[in-house]
Amino acid sequence: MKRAEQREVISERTSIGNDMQFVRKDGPAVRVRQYVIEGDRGVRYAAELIANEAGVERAVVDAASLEELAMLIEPAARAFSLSVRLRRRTQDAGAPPVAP
Amino acid sequence: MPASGIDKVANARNQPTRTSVLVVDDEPAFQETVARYLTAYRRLSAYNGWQAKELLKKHHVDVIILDLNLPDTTGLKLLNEIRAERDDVEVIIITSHSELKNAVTCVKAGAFDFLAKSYENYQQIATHVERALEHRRRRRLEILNRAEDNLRESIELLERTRSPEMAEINRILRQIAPTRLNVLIEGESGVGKELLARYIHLHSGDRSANAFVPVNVGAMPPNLIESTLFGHEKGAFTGADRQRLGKFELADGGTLFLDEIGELEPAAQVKLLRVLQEREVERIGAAEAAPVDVRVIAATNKNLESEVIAGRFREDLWYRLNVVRLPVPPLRRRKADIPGLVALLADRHARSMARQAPTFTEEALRALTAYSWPGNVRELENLVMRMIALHPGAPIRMVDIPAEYCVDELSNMAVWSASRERTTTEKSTYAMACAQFEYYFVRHMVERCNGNKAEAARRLGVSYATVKNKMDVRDTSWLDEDEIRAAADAGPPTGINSK
Repeated sequence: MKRAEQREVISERTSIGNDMQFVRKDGPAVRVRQYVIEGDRGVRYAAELIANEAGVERAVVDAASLEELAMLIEPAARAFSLSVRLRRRTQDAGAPPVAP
Repeated sequence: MPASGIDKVANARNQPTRTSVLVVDDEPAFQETVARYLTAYRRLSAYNGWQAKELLKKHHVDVIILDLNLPDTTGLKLLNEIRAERDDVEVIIITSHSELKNAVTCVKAGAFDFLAKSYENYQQIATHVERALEHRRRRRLEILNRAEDNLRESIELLERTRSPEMAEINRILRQIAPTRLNVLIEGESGVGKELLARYIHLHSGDRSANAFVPVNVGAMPPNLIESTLFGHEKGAFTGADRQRLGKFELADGGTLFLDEIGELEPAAQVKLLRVLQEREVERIGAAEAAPVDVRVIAATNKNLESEVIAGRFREDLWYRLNVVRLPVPPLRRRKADIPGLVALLADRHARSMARQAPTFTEEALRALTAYSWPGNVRELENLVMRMIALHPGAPIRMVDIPAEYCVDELSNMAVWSASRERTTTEKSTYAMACAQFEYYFVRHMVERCNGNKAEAARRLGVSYATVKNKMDVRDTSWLDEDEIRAAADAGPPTGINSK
């Protein structure tokens, strides 16, 4: 992995709208920040999901349009929150879920 | 003659539509007429065979509308050339020479449809294009889904779970299945990661009507991964004698399951990232990317987070797979599922092997439940198949099960029995547990050999005298297996010898 490449991608991002916060009773709260990314191949949209429960978990959802992104954010935040909680429980239960 | 070119029928946002239609006809009037009815597609125009072949090399094309009479070749000859190299394009022949003989020849050569040039057909041209696309989709599905018969049965394995962790995974899967979110499934080999992926696909609404394409990245030679996933054009590299569709294009509209994604080479990771970000795939040697609508479900038995930290897996790709990351527990951590799995697998494989489904006795199920199953469900499935083959229709007892699967149960029995003895030191408990384990194990082996101690000694690699001694060592105070099980069911050991 080339760190320089990542920084370049991040620097292209332009945040749009305000951060959203999804608070869930069965999982950690998820903060969502939306981005519009203008590159050589046109415009695309992405949302960054951040959950903070015993460490920061991060994920990115891509979409072709702002409408599609809007439709994806809520289920993505819900599923992200649930899966973070499930992994925490699995780790608390003892044995690691995957081979080291 | 007008020059060939791309008539970009773009939508209001100036984004090209997904489906590309190449119209090959030397009459500008026909091109203009057809264009009026193909506004929903990205349209390319060619006025002779050479232009058509050049456009096919440079652009992604889904459907070709082809005239039989061209200035430099015939439509039939061009059709044969296209079919020799490509199988991803549907061809509709349209001609003013609509004799039956021509129609039969063209369809035999691989044309999807044969139309006469008429005003009615021009009006219906978009319908014919849609039918061609549907035909292509079905053709792909037919190839890919031949082995799907057991899918719904396999789903039962998942839904019968008694494990709280698996029940939670089920709940999450049902919520995310209808969306197009990418999923990462983590778990040891044999836990059923592909089954979960199929479960998601089956519950993904319209997407489930399209293909589910599994790819084991770890099983592919590194130099073939890119070509297999993304496809290649004719002549892209030595040996590429014809165009080949990649798995992404085969899965268009459906789901691509990438098993062992941690084995993906860095170059392929970059390409995969691009597909996830921009939803277009570029075949090796292609001048233009083709749009694809594929949901990616990845699986790994590695710790991808560690791979990211070690620099072997791209961080930006990891974030895109981390949206829904599900850890599937190994079978040893969901033992309550084992009896149900055994029954279902026995029933399923007995049918496929044309045998009567065996039943497993309670003691046999206890042994299977006590075992740690390092190979997970796959190992259990193999054992069940072995039992069906060796004992068709008969009840499977513990003695019918290979000894290695009974060790845990036998040692449990020994430990349980020893813990119930009135002993004063840990040392004597240890000695008793060892002696009892040896007794139970040797007796199990003798039973497996139908009471033949000499055969049991041979299998265990010990002398006949050792077998006899181990069996004779049993103290009359020791519980037999049935008593141990009854005591185990009754509750924890009290430390008082009941016998």
